[in-house]
Amino acid sequence: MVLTQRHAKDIAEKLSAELINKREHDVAIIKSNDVLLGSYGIRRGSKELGHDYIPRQIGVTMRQAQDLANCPMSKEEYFEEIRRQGRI
Amino acid sequence: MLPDIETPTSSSGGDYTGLGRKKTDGVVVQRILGRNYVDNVPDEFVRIIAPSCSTEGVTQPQFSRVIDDFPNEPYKLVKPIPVMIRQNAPADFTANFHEANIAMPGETIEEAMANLTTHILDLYEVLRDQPTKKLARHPREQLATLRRFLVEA
Repeated sequence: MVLTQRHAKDIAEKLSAELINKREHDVAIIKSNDVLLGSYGIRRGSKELGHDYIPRQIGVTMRQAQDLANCPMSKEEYFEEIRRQGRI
Repeated sequence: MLPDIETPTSSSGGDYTGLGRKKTDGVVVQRILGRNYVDNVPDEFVRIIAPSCSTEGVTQPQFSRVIDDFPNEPYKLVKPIPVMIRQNAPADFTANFHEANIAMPGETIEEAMANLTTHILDLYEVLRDQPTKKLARHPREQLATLRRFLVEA
């Protein structure tokens, strides 16, 4: 397990993602200039489970997702990366 | 039970040659041996198709399931949603709807499936409620994929 829901929440906070509480878990919505770029689900619950699917859903590598969660990668750098990939 | 599984002679992460396997109807069916937690899941799931590798390069069991109903929800399925479930640890599963790039975790296979099912509906509602011009390419493609699988009842 590389990314847990703690990391998932940290990434959401770093990217100023909107956290929507719907049925049984949270949906993190990432936007730039009011355009929805990506999203991922965050499980509720006390046990830390793997959220290693997040990088693929937000268009970064596992390393970049870790960097987002652990600080080296900034929000601006993330959007630059997404722009470079043509996702914006 | 899987028939005619070869007896493994060795095991190495990322190299499947040491794992018991049999080619049946063009599909490589593999059974990962030597990992105790595989025995914790029902026999019907001990059928592993296209094993993946974790970030550490260790082979992880995968199980194939489908979502074929949305009980108590105002949606109907056009066709079953194929799901691959990966076991990351004894009580850590990830259910993945690859075609739409949507996944959710759970402590059991059933919980991961239930979480994925509700997340699919949550995400569908979020994407549906956005003006199309406010969706980037990836979420637009996700919405298009979801619309091929589900309709509002």
